[in-house]
This record gives sequence, C-alpha cells and structure tokens, in this order.
Amino acid sequence: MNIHQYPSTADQTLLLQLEGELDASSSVGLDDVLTAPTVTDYQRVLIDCQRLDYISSAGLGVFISNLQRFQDAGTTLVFFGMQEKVYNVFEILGLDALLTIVGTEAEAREAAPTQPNA
Amino acid sequence: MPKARLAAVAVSAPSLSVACERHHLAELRDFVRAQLQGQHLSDKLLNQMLVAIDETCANVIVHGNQENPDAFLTLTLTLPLAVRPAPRVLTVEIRDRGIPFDPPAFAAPDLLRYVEERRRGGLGLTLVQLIMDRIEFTTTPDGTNLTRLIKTLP
Repeated sequence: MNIHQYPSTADQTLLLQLEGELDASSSVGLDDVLTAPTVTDYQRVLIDCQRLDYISSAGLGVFISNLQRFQDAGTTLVFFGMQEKVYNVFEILGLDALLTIVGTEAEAREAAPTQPNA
Repeated sequence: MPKARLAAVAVSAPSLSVACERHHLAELRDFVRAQLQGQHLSDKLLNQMLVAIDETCANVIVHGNQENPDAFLTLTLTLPLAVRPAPRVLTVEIRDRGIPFDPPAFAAPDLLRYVEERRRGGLGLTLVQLIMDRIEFTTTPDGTNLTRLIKTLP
C-alpha cells in the first residue's frame, strides 16, 4: 500500500491517493496518516481510491474510527474514484449511506466546498 | 439397457500454510485469486470471496494466535473442476491450533455507534456472515480448530 499525500493550504485540502491493497497489515500506515493531529487543520480530506484495489474491514475501520474526530473538527471526508468491487464492500455493510462517496475528484470538491479563512 | 452410472463430481483441494503473521494475508489472497481464476466469477464475487477468506484468516492470526510467528494456519479450498453441473459449491477450510473461536450470532451492526465509539474493529465477522452462505466452527479432539466457509457459486 502506497499513500501519496497532496496537501494544499491554499484551498484547505488534503488529498490522499491510495494505491494497492488495504488489509489488516497495510492499514497501519493509513491509520498513522489519518490520526496525525495536523489532518484536522484541513477543511476537507479527499481520498482518491482510483488505484485502491482491495479493502478489508481493517481498512474500513481506519476511516470509521477517525470519522467522529473529523466531524468534531469540521473536516469533511470524501471518497472518490472507487472501483466497483471496492465500493461493493462499503455497500455490503451499509457504509455507502454513512460516508460521502462520489465518482470524480471534481464531484468530491463540489461535495465539500471550502470556506476562505477569516 | 445402459447401466446407471454414479456421476462423480470432480473436485480439487489445493492448500497453503503460512505462519500466523499479518503480512502473510496478501500471500493468502494471491493464492485464492490464482485458485479461483478458472471459476469465471465476476470481479465483484471474486473480491467478496477474497474479503471473506482474508477476514477469517486475519481473525485466526490476530485473535486466535496473537500473531505468533511459530504458529501456522492452513487454508484449503475445495472447488469444483467443471463449470457444470450447477450448483457449484466452494468450500473454504482454515485450520489452526490457537484459541478456539465461538462466533456470536449474526447481528446487523449499528454503524453510527461504531463511529461515535471510534471503533477500529469488529466488522470483519459481519462481512463474512453477509458474504458467505454458511460458516461453521469446530474443534477436533486433537485441538485443531476448523473454520469452514461455504458459498454456492452461480
């Protein structure tokens, strides 16, 4: 699992590009990234799933366990570009109703507009 | 008059043993992918089989054997060799000698509570229960745990 981080302070966005397979072994690295205190400095965290080939409950757990913290801090989490087989795993558990999952990066930015800093 | 013949359904039962360490999960999934290649499953169904087997093996590794590198699990797939006759049943067997697992009955997870409680785990077994037709857990008299997952393939 490779995680590429594209932070942008200009538009208050952290873009994370996931590449590979997210299981009970590889999800530890993603957990380290998402639990970093600086993550909630961004108004939105966009997860690019186009190159995410697999996810198990350990990977889902990383997102679920950080969601409340994100919500409390006013950071919106949006997933985009998910392969159908990966989306299906979210669907089986009903997570598609709880998380914001859209098709493209443009749609993800539209789903979570940022406010200019005061 | 032709003699009645007992039709034997040909099966193969490849298996793989790995030490109880998380980093072997990818190897177990590669094995399952390779074995199910000829079964003409959709991407979605093949992925579901990977998830169910991966989750069960992860439980055995992490909870049953506390990631003990000296402990082993053996994964065996019993799969039909021919596409016909239907129905084709895939049987997955996972053997280990760790702490036996007594699974709770299926209960739909309260996802909002998971979020509020910032829970990391607990959805693996639910996924397996939602994907597979049947799950059986037994422990043999010699102390081997046998987890069996059964799925009828289309």
